[in-house]
Amino acid sequence: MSPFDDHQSMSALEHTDELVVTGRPAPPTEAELTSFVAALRATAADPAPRPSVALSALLRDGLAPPSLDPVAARPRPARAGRSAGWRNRWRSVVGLGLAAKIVLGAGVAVASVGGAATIDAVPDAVQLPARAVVSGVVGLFTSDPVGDPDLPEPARVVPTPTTGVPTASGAEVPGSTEVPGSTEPPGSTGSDGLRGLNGVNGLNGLNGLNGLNGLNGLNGLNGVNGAGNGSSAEGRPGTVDVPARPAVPIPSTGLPSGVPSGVPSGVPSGVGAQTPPDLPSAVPQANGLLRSTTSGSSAVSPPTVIPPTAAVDLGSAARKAAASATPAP
Amino acid sequence: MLDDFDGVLARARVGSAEAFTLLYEDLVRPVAAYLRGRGVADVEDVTSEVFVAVLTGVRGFDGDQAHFRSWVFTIAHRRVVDGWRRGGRRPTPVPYEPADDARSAPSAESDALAALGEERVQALLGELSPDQRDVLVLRIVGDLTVDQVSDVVGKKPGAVKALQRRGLATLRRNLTVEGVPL
Repeated sequence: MSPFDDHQSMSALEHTDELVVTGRPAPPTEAELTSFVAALRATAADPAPRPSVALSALLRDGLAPPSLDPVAARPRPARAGRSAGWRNRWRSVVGLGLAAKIVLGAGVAVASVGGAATIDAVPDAVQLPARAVVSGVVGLFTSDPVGDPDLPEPARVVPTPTTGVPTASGAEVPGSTEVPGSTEPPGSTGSDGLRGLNGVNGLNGLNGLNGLNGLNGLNGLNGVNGAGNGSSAEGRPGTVDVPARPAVPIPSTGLPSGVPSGVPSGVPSGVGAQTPPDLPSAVPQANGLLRSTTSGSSAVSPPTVIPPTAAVDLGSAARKAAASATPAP
Repeated sequence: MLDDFDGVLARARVGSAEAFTLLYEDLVRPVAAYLRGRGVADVEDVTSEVFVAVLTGVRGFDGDQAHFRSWVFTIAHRRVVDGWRRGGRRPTPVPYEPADDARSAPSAESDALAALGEERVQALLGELSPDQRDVLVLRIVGDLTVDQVSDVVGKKPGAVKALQRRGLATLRRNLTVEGVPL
């Protein structure tokens, strides 16, 4: 038998099967199978089984249309959704473990204090303590050995006493007068590098604790110690135009001109040493008063040299740095 | 077959009890026969479960009468398969006991003859494989085409044809051996 014959016979068999299954007249040779199929088909004419209770209810009552369902169609008030959302969040917080709650609370506290210290819209009564807290925390985490009693006390530079910075109302800004024995904490002088900058920021009550100011302070260390700090006080009450001071010889230690020789090696000298020696603005401009051209947006932009005769808004750090750079008579 | 299937379906979608009854009466007997042919023990309960699912889900159905028929048998087929999985074993043929059959019949003679014939039919079906039983019962009792059966059982039409061919061949062989007319 050829494959064609196989296909022919298969097609004929399928055709016969189709006739039997569908109840159409089949060849007489399929009488038994035809009788079986007829008996099987007759089972579908048997009486229906009794419906269950649920099915009886459906057949008797039907179903309510979905659009006419008053409960489902009632819009849920938005306030209820919001309160449910807050309830879910509160449940998620309550469901946390003890350690997670502590971490969450600490995070909220850090965010609150940091925000209060950096957002200008916060009242000064809140902002100043927050800045003091942040400066203390920043001092702890910097490489500065703040508060380490084992280290020798750096030589304090007695700056030239200056008058208080007048404000618009005529009152002086607290802490703007830098005299020995003031409330300035140890290490708050400009000669203490980072620590000093933090302290100056805290005393001046400027916007200086937002990290950006610290970088400005670093720029200032490259040039005039603390001069960059004054940039954050631009346009704020309590700033004063400081006249430029005469050129000062650059010390051979490689430190910025504002840093005295008694500075501990760990703090500002490291900052000064990080300044690449081939930077043109590092040393030659040290005698001038620098002001960062950025007003807090970018701390790494090169400083702009202000002519000595130009009036510059500088903070007390700049004045202190300029005073310390002046050779003692 | 319903004459105005589209109208009945539209009314059933909005929950009309009258439409539910028409759909139920049109298909309850073939479905029950399919369940019996598949060896389901509690045909009454499973039939009710199938139609509760059909009538509560008819809002999501969209199609003509042939598709509706396939859809109803698909639900019934899945109920059968779920029953097998719950039992964890292959279905065993349930011997037909005429004394346990509470269904009414026109007369005692016709009841006895019908029961005898149905018992023989169920016994012959029990000698087929489950897939062959599925295909043959759906084709004969459900009055479905090969394509509809392939949709219900989830197999290709060629596989359905092969199952049908092998099932009928087994029936031919067994009927020839027994030689007893139904």
